[in-house]
Amino acid sequence: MEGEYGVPTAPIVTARFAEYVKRDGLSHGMNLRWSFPPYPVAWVSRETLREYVNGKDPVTGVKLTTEIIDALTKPLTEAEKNPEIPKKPKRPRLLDQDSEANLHQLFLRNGWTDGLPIVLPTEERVAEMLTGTEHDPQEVVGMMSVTTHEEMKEYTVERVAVNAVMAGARPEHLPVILAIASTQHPAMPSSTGSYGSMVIVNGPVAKTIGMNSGVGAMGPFNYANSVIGRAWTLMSINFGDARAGDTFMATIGNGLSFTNQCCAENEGKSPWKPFHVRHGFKASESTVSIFRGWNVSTLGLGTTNSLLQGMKTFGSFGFTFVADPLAAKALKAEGWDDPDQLSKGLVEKSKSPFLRPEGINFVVVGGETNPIVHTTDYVYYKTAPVDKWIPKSGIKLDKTPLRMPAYRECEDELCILGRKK
Amino acid sequence: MNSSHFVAKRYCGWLIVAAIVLASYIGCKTQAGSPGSGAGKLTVLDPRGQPSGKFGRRGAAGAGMMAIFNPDTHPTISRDELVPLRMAPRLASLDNKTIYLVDTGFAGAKEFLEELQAWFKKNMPSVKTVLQIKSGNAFVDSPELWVELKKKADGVIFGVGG
Repeated sequence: MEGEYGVPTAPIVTARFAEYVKRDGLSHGMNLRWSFPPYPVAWVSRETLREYVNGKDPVTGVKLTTEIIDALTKPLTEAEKNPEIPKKPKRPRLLDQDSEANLHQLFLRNGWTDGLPIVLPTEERVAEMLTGTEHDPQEVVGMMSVTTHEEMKEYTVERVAVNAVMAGARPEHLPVILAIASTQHPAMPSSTGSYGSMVIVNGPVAKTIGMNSGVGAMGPFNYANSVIGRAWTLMSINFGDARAGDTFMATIGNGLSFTNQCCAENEGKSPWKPFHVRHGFKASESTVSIFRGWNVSTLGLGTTNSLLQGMKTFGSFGFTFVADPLAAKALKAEGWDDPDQLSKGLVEKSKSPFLRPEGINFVVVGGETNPIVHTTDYVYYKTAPVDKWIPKSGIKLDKTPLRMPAYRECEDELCILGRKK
Repeated sequence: MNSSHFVAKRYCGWLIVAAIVLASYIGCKTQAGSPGSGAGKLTVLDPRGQPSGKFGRRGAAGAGMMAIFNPDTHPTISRDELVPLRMAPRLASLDNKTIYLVDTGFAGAKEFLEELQAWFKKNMPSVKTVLQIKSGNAFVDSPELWVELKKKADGVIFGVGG
């Protein structure tokens, strides 16, 4: 409006976003004349809104209506006539030397961590991490931002390795972490709602690096699942530039964001083709698939009617069902030989004009302790290959790979049913 | 105890003290860890991303609300293409001017702008206000509205974000 059409404007945003919009505008060379009423504006009474209009801008202390009129009528200042786009300096590769304790403090104080203890990314540790891939450490993997308009941050293989070290990962995990980084999806985009994200690993790599797809797969019981999911969060903080209340505005936040929902698909127990195969990859290929949404309900049963009930409760426009293998088998027994067929069936039965079959997805995870389905309103975004990041000689495993206690699989199903068929 | 015994014991004591000092020094060096670092100091790598010179921008008209939350569909603009915003000349006053109040689509915006419209009616009756709801969602372009505003509006109040 201002630049192209020559019409003066007075943009209004609630005071809670004053810093956010001012900084965002200035980074683009936009000296907009904002006015900030108190917050919230949504779901408050007319009387309250009237008080806001008649009252003062809590940020500037100026009467709100005076500020709005001034925004449209006060002559432009020199700075407004000659706006500039500030250039952000390149960051150094190495930080200043310091003691271990001071560096831990530095990382915490600067908001470069998730608040939990990290492994400091020394040159030796990062060099060791980089043995997990043959890609050039300075190769650019992508760019990311948790905001929608700010300058995105670019990251190399080496910077991904730095965050992998911080997360406590080993070189064997690096190809999967690089694959996640290659999607350029932050785990926590900035929205006043609090996003949750999920990454599902498919293919042989999951077994090689000891990922869990069975009992407690999405819980804190597996080293690879935990550190890979955590590395995604650290990358979202450091590459996506997530700073709470500054660039990251989720009003409540989401506990799932610490390690996200990260696990492998239980391909061995699933009655259906693996998720990545249904999306154009070979079973022998390894991939990561990215999902994101808000709602997760962890107590549903694997029947078509139960899925429909879950969809009705959430009322969203996309769903991803995380089905225990028993639930998937129960659904197959109902006649759904293929999840794509089931997605179509659910759209038809729901009679919702907003749903599309491709918006309803299924992954099979769990250890067959009950035919449970997690209903989520997660949207499936993309699947990215892992293999391109794996060294030609294969995954770089430690001499004695670190593994947590593995759950006992019930190959003959006797331990589930407690009796013979 | 003869004198040679005394001398031997005395030197032996000093040797033990020296060994302890040397051992603690070596211990400190080992804990310091990284070769080439100062005593007790570590060199670590910067974990942050580099400025890319790419900025996100609003979605194309008609794009879905989530389009800008997906890196595959989020339009970007490079720093070189980005032109600092030239602000429009301001109005001498609002008297007898047409001011559009544009609801950008956030919850509560319409009600807030209605209250603002009522304030203008009461306090600045010569100002003609038009309440307009932006087409599409808050995150996408609305070119047809911009043309209308250019044609009909002397000034525009956008709100309410948050």
